[in-house]
Amino acid sequence: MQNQTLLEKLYDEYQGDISRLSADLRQIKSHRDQANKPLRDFSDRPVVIELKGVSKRYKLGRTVVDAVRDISFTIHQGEMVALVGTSGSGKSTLLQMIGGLDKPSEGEVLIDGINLKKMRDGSLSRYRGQKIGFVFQSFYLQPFLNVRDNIEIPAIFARTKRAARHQKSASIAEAVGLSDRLRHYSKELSGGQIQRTAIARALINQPKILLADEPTGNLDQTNAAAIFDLFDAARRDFDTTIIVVTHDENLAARMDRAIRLSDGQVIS
Amino acid sequence: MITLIDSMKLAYTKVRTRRIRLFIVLFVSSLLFSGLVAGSLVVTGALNSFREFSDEGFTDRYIVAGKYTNSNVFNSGVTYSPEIYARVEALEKDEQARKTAEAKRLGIEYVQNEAEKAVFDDGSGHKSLNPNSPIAAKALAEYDASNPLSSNLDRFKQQTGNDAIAYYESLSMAPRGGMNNPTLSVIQDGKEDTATGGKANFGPGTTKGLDGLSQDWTLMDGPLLTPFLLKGQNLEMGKDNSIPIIASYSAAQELLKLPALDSKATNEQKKQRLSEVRDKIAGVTFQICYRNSTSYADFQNAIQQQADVKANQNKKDYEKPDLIYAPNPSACAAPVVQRDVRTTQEKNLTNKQAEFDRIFGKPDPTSEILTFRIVGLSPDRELPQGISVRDILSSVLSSTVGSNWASPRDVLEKVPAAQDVFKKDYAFSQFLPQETYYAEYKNPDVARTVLKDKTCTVLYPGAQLQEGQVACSPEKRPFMLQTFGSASLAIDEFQSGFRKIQLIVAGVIALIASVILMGMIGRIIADARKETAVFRALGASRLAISQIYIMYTLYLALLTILIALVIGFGFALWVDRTLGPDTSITMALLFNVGDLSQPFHFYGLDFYDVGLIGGVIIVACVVGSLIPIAHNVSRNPIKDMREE
Repeated sequence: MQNQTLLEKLYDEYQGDISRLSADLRQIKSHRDQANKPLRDFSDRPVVIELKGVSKRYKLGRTVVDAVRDISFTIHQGEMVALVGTSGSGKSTLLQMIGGLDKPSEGEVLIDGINLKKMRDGSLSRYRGQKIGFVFQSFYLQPFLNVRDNIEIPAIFARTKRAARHQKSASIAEAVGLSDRLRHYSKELSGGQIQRTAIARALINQPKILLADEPTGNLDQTNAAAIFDLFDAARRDFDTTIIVVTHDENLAARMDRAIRLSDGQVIS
Repeated sequence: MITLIDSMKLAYTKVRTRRIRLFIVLFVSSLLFSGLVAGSLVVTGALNSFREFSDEGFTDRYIVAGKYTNSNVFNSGVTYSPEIYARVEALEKDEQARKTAEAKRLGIEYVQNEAEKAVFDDGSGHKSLNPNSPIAAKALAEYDASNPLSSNLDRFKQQTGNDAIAYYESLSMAPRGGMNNPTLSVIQDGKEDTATGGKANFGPGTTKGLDGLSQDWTLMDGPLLTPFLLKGQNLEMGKDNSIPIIASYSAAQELLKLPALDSKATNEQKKQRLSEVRDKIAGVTFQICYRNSTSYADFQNAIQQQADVKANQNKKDYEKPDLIYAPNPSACAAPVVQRDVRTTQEKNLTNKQAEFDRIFGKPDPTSEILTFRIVGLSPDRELPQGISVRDILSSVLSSTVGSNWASPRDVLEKVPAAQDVFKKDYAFSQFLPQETYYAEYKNPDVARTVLKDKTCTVLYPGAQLQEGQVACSPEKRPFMLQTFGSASLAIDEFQSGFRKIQLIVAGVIALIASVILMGMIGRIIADARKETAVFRALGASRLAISQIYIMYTLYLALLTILIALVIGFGFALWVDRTLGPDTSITMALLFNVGDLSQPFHFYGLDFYDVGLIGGVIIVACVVGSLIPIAHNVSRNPIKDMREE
């Protein structure tokens, strides 16, 4: 009886460590798999995103800041790309221009061959709603809506009917492992669950492009790995093009390729 | 656009943020609007109660009275025409010649008394008629008859239009202040009151109590009197030939010999008194002595002679008149001769003088006791004297018959003395018209329009017409119009005025509330900029964002309405509990209602008002949100994202 109690105590004490160890082992295995995986070739896939000589300047008081300078690259459909760089390197600005939230000072951002700069506000809203899925670093879940309602917000703006919305949110929640949390509010969720809810929200309209800004920035390695798995599943299931802004080299290493930025310019 | 339910769902999340600040702002805004709600409830309740209290009177009836100005004797409604002065002077000249000739024939002396002159001249060429001159009255009557117009009632109908549902008439006593009029004196304890009969009459309502009958008796059509009948009473002449009459409350109290209540009497005591008067006064009879002008002059002469004799009885050099009259011990009888030591020659001379007077229109003395039966009560009609709230309410709101004493108009045919009492006096009636005509309307708006657009103004010498006034004229507008009897139009007018004030106050409050709400909504929206940016990133159009905030604004409006209603109702109920009981008794007394336990309420729900206030709140909220929303949706979402 005494031995049994001692064992239970030891189990409780080391359970967290065992979990962490298990997660680390999974991550090592993942890195090893990634390093060993053959590079995928997307050149035969259509170009979804094309940046041509894109620059962005901001005025901060009297100072003009060159956030992005003369950047050009293309991203193909289904590709998973990491935008890597230090803070202030221009990766988030680039993401926002691709997402139609901001317009370049110079150059063109073409999505499916359409220049976003020439789109009006209404068309841009529709573009964001139908083609883009955003995952924010701070999640931005609405605290007074439950998980299901949060997931459905983009579908509301896309004017998807209620029944279809519910069906989609249920399906996506199941895919991200939140089926049992649909009626919960964000304060009742863990960090990982919150991020998964944010990803589910980004995916509900089955966007062509998923833009994620530091999606694993606030997560531990286990949850970060789980997030990558979700992105991968989205690419696999919906042929979604995924761009992730990150300074997490582990995550970047798992992407199809990484575009490295420094001082607003592509360095590799 | 997103669906209504979705916009409601997203807007509701904002209502749940910053609750304390939201509650404070909503409470302040609601307090402003609750004033409007409370005002509406209290005024609506009071007006409803006024109407309920007035059901027994005229308050639910819309009656316009037209005073006949007798203006056909005026020249353009300003003064007598030269034609009338010429006619009066001609008649007077002729009569003077006849009187001189007749006096010569009878062998008596005749010199025209200055006071008997029919036309006065102030020396500057300005002439005026002697209101006591039979010659002047005769000339005016002749002029009236020689310029025949259609009947007064027809002309009244013509002036007021044909929208009335009924027409009525009334006749006041001839205004009296001179020697040619009959008198009515109260008989109390079998004695004729020597004072009341001779009092001057300056129109209805000048004297309260029993004395008032001698000056303020009006004959009216039955439908104008029935609202004031007491239980079990009717407007028929009694089997004892008693004349039915509606009496004033003060007169009824006097007849019952009830001592006047102390000025500090409580409402409860007043209520008990009213109840007592009502219970006891129905069917009570009293007597009045009618004397024609000759009889009254003889009566006064007898009183005066008795007073002279009494005053001089101890004076040695006092010589008693040869003929002394004394008042008859029987009330209302002709004076009796107390002493007659005249010579035959003196008696002949007196007889000749009497014959002379008879020839020139002096009537034989006539007197008669009239019995009146009280069949109804009316609140005292008083000339505006006080400025207390009660006086104002009394004069504005209470239903009266417009006279302290009123009988049905058929008394004129059934009581011979009434024909003398109500005979037309041309000289005075230009100032105090005897005939009044009434038009009753179903719709207060029509009555108000008639009052405003169809009345006329009598232009007295020296007066000028104000803008919008039309002079009374015999052919087109001989009637001055005014509201009659009821407070209906006054209450409607007040209600209409209140609505105007309410709209103005609502506008001001809406403006203030809009500014407060603008600040509050501006802050809430500013706080939610990042969320708005996120929504924009998730595909929300500017229209969708505006829709969410408009819906949020409507939530605020709804909450404001609810809080304002709760506070407003609470305040109105407090006013009702605090003032209601005392006011109920005051109003019961003021309106002379049948059911003295009828409650007066200070709250009443007017759905129009509530709807109006709700609408104003919604408008204020929407107006208050427009600028912040416009500012918010015009922002670049990325800037707000970047701030994060």
